Amino acid sequence: MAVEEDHWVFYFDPNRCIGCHACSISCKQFHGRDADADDWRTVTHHEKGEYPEVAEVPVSMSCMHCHDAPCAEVCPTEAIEKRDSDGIVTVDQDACIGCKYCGWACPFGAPTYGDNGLMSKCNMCLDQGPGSGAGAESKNEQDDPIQPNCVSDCVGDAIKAGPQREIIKEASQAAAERFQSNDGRVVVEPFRGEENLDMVEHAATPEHAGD
Amino acid sequence: MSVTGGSEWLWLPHVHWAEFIALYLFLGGTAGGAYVTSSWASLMKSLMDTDSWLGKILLARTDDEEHRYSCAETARWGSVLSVLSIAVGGVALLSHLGAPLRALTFPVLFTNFGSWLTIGTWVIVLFTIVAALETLWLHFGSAVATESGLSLFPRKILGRIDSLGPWSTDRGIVWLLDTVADKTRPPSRAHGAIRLVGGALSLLLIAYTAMLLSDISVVPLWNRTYLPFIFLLSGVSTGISAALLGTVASGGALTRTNHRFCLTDDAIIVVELVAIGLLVSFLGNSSDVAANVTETALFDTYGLEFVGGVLILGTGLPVALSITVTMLHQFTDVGETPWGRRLLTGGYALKYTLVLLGGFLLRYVILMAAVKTPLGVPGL
Repeated sequence: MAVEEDHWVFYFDPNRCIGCHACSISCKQFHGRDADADDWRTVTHHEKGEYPEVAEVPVSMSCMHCHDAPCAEVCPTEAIEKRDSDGIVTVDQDACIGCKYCGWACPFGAPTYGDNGLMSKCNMCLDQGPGSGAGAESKNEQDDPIQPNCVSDCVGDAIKAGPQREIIKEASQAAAERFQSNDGRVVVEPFRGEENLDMVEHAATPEHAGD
Repeated sequence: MSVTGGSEWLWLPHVHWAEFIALYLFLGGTAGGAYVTSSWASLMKSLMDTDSWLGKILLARTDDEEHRYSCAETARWGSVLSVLSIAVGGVALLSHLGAPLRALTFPVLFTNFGSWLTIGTWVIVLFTIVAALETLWLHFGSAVATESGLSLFPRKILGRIDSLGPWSTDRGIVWLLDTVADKTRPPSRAHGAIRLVGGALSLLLIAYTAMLLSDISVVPLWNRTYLPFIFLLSGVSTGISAALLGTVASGGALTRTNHRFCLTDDAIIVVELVAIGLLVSFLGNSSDVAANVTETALFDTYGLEFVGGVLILGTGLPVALSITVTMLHQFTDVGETPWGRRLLTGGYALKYTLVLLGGFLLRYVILMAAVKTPLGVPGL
């Protein structure tokens, strides 16, 4: 059983995101999902300020593989599992009854329900397709862990994924502190405005490492 | 996954449950309430039958035949409606699932006993067994064969089937159920104990429908402090209304049984209204933006259903109607004339029907107006 710091988490930096949707498209393509199916990874656009001083904040989001996994807590059949080995939350569609209770419990709106009424969501690309990934080899046991497609296809390095102890080293102090105070669900950099879009001051310094 | 951007908040999708689940929540509550009503009516009838000192204190009179008949009818209506409600509610619940047949293997598949869905499933199963036994014992058996009343419609329907079937009517379905009822009917004290267990299961059944919702911490409307209390009150109220609507149809509208249950129902509705008011007040005073949006949804988007359906038609008007009919019945001679009796009977029937309508709309609004706490966009 891996310690919590070995559990995989997502990192998102809105300052590096250009809102191109490459992440959500690559996710859909890799998992062979129809164009009109609900997205496992979404990109939304949010405005800050008033004309003419307007900045746009794109937000890319998917299942955050929460440490406390509220979806798994309410699942009657334990089809949803928070894996001890790498912390990735998977769903076994053979055990899912399609009650949609997890859809309500998730604070990020991650569960989607296809034509068969069963739940599917991001599995950090443990395997391809809805319901895949349950029982797959732990990312921490792979020699060269495969990065999720949203991460590898992101043009601005806005999305990262990896064990918490490594990801947190790349986060700013503010993002690391928010991660610790927000149930340890996702590492998100604060938006710094247009002036910082190209250069983000990361806190990968010795004093902040491992925060 | 469809999410809404465009502002400082990232709003999440939330319409996962709709009419069928609202119907299930309503029928689950009504089933529990109807069973409680049935058990209470059975207790009153048994107190009259035994002519005990407790009966004299609680009922004032133990020789009122109309009261005795109404108690029997209410007990039977309550039990049979509790079974019908949970059966229809169960079908509504299953029809909503992505894999309904898989859910039927719940004894093996439902392994997470920390989930209210698992707890609720077992409560439903145990409740259904107790309610079905109660219905069997109240509707069948040699002692019931000579009784009359509209609540005995299951006997009449099965008797009709017996007369149409190729088998002998002397050894038909009614005979079989009468025999099973006589052979399984427990002694009086044991029956009372079973009713107590059934009553506890009924209250758990009603409360669980709210616990299921209020276990979701990201929906302010499904507040753990208020919702179970509201559903419990509403479930008992709709259960009383369902059972007593049957009693009214059986001709028991102007009996002391109906009068007492009706006043009890009124008191419950008033407390329920206060609890709904406290929930709305909580939403208005909450710092959670989703709570404020929910309040707007209750009075704007779903204003017709909530204000018009729940607060006016489903709770306020029934109490006003009940008080009016009761005043006319108790303090005037309206009930002495045939048209007056029809008027009062119609008034009671309308009241109970409105309570049932309000009970369904309450669940509908609680589901449809639910808003998840949005995510704060970084930097905004």
